[in-house]
Amino acid sequence: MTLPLLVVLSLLNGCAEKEKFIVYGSTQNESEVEALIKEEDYVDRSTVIQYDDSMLVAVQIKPLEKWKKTKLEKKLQKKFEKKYPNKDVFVSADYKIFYEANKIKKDQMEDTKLSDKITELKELAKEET
Amino acid sequence: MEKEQYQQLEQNVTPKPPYLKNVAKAFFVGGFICAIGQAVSLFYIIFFNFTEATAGNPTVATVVFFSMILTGLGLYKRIGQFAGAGSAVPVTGFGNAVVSAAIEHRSEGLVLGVGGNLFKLAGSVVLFGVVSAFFVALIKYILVTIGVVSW
Amino acid sequence: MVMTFIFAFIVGGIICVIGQLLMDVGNLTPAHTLSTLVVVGAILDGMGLYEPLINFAGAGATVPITSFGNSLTHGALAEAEKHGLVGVLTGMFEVTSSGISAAIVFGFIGALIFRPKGNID
Repeated sequence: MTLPLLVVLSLLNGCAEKEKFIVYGSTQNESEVEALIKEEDYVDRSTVIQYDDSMLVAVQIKPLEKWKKTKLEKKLQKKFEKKYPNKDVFVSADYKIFYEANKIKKDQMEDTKLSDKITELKELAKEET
Repeated sequence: MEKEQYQQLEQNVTPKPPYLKNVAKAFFVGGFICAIGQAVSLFYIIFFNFTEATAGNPTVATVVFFSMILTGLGLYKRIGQFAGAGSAVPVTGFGNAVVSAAIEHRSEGLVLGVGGNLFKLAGSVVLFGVVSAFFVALIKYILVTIGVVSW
Repeated sequence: MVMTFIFAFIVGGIICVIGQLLMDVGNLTPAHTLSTLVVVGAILDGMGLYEPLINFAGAGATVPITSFGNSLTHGALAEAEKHGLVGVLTGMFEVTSSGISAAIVFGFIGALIFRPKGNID
């Protein structure tokens, strides 16, 4: 049972390998943002959406570090706020936000809708049970 | 026969449960139910506006719904006989306890039968859940007030 | 995402194993076992340990009965944090557990659409 599982796992990982760190929107500081995230070794994958001066950083934390999710989210939020003080940064490690961020990229969402979508996702992420 | 003697005898006569086998069954059935729950969670996250933090509620409600269907068809009891705690510990077991009591007492009427017996089997879980929530909140409030911990 | 399924399976399985051991080794009745687990869930949430478990294992932590204790305590704690001592009391009316409400509603519906199948246990 374990062998096919491992094969599936490695296949899934292999596919994802190519685009582990994505930056979408204005690409002016793309490599800088990417480097910033890569410094954090607990981040497995990430998608960053940039629009005007708002920035949505959606990350997925490595499975074994996930129990620290809330803490790591805050840590990354602080790091980005410090680096980009005049930008409206929002960091989330929730799968929903990551999924939606990837959808924005895949659908090549237009700029007019983008800012509304980012606001919507922010509100969603703040909801509590 | 003295009461103690009887208990002694009872203990000697009662066969020891096959610990390892029971544990394995509980692990696999319980784990399987939780994996189904994870699939339900993922469904709500992808197709509805639920985040990982908020998907727990609809997930629990949905697996309780599954449990109602299985209970109504008389299948949950059979799973329970095989899996022991593996099917009792997930909330589906709680759902089963409530639903089966409701169905069983339907003939006595909706108010006295269903209403009166709904929590016959599962009431203690609700009781201890709510009471312990109250005391945990109270204790934490006191600890925060005297400055031992923060919220 | 695949790993989340595996951890949900493992963590959920382990919680069920604890329940099984309470029954077999601890000689508790199922009702005692489940009540114990609910109280443990409430205490873990009070110590702030249940949320990390949910982050780690997803449904592996939200599907076992321990999550009742967690969600009930969560409601009470949120009220206590907001309104202080009064909140501890009003928190009792704010406590929410979708599992309990769902069981009540589906229990009622189940009673309407299904017929009894022999004795319950």
